[in-house]
Amino acid sequence: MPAVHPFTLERPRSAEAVVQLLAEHGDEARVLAGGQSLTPLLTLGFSSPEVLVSLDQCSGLDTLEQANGQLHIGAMVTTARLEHAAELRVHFALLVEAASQVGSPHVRNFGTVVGNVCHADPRSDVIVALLCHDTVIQLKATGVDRRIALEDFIDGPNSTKIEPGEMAVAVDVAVEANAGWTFGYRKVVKRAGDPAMAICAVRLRCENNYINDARVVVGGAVSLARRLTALESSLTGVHFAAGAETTLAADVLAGVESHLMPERTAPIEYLHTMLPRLVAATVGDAAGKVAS
Amino acid sequence: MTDVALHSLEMTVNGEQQNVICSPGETLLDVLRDRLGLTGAKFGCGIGYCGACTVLIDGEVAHACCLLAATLSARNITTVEGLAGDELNEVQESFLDCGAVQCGYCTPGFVVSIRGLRNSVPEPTEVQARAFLNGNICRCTGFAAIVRAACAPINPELAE
Repeated sequence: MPAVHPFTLERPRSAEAVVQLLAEHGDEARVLAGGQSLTPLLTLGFSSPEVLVSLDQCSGLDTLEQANGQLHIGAMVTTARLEHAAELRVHFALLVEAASQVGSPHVRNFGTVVGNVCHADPRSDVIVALLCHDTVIQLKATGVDRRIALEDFIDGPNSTKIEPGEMAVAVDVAVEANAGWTFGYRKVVKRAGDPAMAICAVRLRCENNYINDARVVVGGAVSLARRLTALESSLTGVHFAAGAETTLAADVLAGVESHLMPERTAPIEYLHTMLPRLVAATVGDAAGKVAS
Repeated sequence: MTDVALHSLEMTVNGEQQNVICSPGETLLDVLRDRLGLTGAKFGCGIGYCGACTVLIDGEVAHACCLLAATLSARNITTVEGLAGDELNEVQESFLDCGAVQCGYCTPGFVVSIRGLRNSVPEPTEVQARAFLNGNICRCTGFAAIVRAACAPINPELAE
């Protein structure tokens, strides 16, 4: 095994103490939550911080609750807690489904939702699902807190707008005022447990058999997971009994074409064929749940 | 690794309180194998994919290669050595009955994972077992027998 670059491990007791340490050490410090992405990066030598600030002793970061129109997911809430939170199935069934498909039970028991978001992998189940909701990241630094929408927070593969000195303390997801949302969730993997070649998450809201709101997100073969807004517009107003999945492939490809990363996943010809079919099938799943 | 502070922490390993001294970069797997002499958990992929290093932490399955030992103070760790006394446990007996061992390198990880699964689902279905064992790989590809062992009925004489 390669030698791990030597680092100092800090285990502060509060978020305030975390950001004090981050202010002191700037970009030489990294925050460790569940460690399921960062620990392998450390042992493989891909990340070599001078100071590692572990959240394992911090109080107040493990809150998972719905209050004031928000689902609050604290920085130390594991993926497994989301997966097993029966009370979330009413408004966040898609998120629960996506959480249940992250890695393996081993990874879900320790990996955190917020850590997953900060790792910003385009193949993240959690990020694709969160982008189907109005999701905000809470960032904290000494003396200043800020909130940033998830779609603005992630700006590239494994890259976010987090600044040196900042930590992500929580993810807040808006609880929809309107009822009647259904979802579809599919991913394409070569082998079970592999990072996805492509992921699609869809949420539809229907009234009187018409789709009047749609969220469609694609991740995996793209540089960052993104909403397909043209397709969402095309779906709006569609009578689902007429076959919501007969959508234009052009809308799918227009939304992702310039961001495809065939070198990381599969040949471009394959992606051009597979992605529209994946999205159509996922929209069909969501529409089918309305009809039944 | 000489210029960083060592950490001293208490953890429970297979029911015994241990005072562990380790450097910040040591994984739980490093500590179990190199400091405590518990070589049942194996180094496989080192990235939390193959499950050869599986242990239970407070009863839940974990990849020991992907956790820094110094962050696990006061946690309760169970390795394959802690699952059985002088007699094999029910999961190990099922592995023998089903012929679920080939080269054996992945076996301790599978046994611990299946113990973790059966702690919450005592008699899993094949679908449940296959979904749960997503975190373990048998490089000999002997999965069918392993899944049969995972789904074996509870043996009342051996159940823990």
